[in-house]
Amino acid sequence: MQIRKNNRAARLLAAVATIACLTVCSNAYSQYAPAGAPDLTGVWQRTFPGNSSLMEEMPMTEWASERFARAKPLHGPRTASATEANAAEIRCLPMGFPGYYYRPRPFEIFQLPDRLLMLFEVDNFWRVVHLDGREFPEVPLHTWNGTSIGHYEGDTLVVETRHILGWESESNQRWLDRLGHPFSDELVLTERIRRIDDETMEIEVTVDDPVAYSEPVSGTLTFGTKSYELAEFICNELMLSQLPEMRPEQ
Amino acid sequence: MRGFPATVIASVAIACVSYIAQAHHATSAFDRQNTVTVEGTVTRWQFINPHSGIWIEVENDGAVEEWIGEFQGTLDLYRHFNWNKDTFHPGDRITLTGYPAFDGSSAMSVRIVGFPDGTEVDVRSAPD
Repeated sequence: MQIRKNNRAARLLAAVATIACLTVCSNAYSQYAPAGAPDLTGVWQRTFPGNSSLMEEMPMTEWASERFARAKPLHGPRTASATEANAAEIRCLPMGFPGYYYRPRPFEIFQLPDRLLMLFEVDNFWRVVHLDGREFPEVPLHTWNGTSIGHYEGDTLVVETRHILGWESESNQRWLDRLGHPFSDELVLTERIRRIDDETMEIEVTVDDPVAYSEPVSGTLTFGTKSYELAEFICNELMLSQLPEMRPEQ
Repeated sequence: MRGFPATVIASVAIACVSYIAQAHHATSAFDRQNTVTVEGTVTRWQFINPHSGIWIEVENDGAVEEWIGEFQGTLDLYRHFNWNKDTFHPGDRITLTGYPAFDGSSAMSVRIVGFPDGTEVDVRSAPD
């Protein structure tokens, strides 16, 4: 009888501890973020069409129009075969932002005191958004995905990204989307990220790139939660593929 | 086997708009206005990213023809259908229905797989 009582007490204690832990864990982000800041943690995947662009008519400069004409994307009305395409993604090269968001693959967000982490399943790629108040480096280091710095404004996380390597070469092109809209090294990308409800996140994207676009380009991308746990996705397995269409080098 | 002749059956299909919207790369090589069905014996199953593939031998009027079926990557197949590297083995008899290659080669983007026990899996039914 005593044993049974002890068991009951132990079970009660365990339940209380579990509830306490869940409460703390689920609110963990709020310890780091200012009051009212959004909880963006979770696994997300786009709910917008992957073969779309930020605006229906992109205000391309001559620089961009020339490159758009030479783009051979893998999606949309100008879809080219894998052997003809010049999208960086067919070589498993990074797509940059907002290009990555157009992939039909989940990514997970973690919020820390000084950083927000985005783990992308595709290409096993991670992105760091610095939240420690730093400035962009005086001497820029241009990289495939650039440098991202963010801060909270009410219920919105505002992220600015600079120093993304722009349009590279005839055979390795990277675009704002999967349709072939180019960007230059001058791109300044602003993302206003907020949570609409339990299952929806919205990112209002603004592209400021005077080399490629005659005026800032804006669009809103929506994402839904996924129950998936992220798993391994090694795009470079492409090199092992025996599928004729997946071997563009041949 | 179960109404599928060993020879190739080509039939016109209505290409669903959502399939086009979900198109991943390399799918432009396949004709989504038509479908083709073959039955044969598995010789190889390559469960990798970004696209998986299967190779089957199809008897056609006494001759043996190799067909290649292309699938989406591993995680779509695993998450939605519990497929893995051991889903198919050499010697398995299966039927494949899918979109034929534009270039006339014996290749398809697989849509439906028929297993020996009669079950069928529509691999393109996975949500985007």
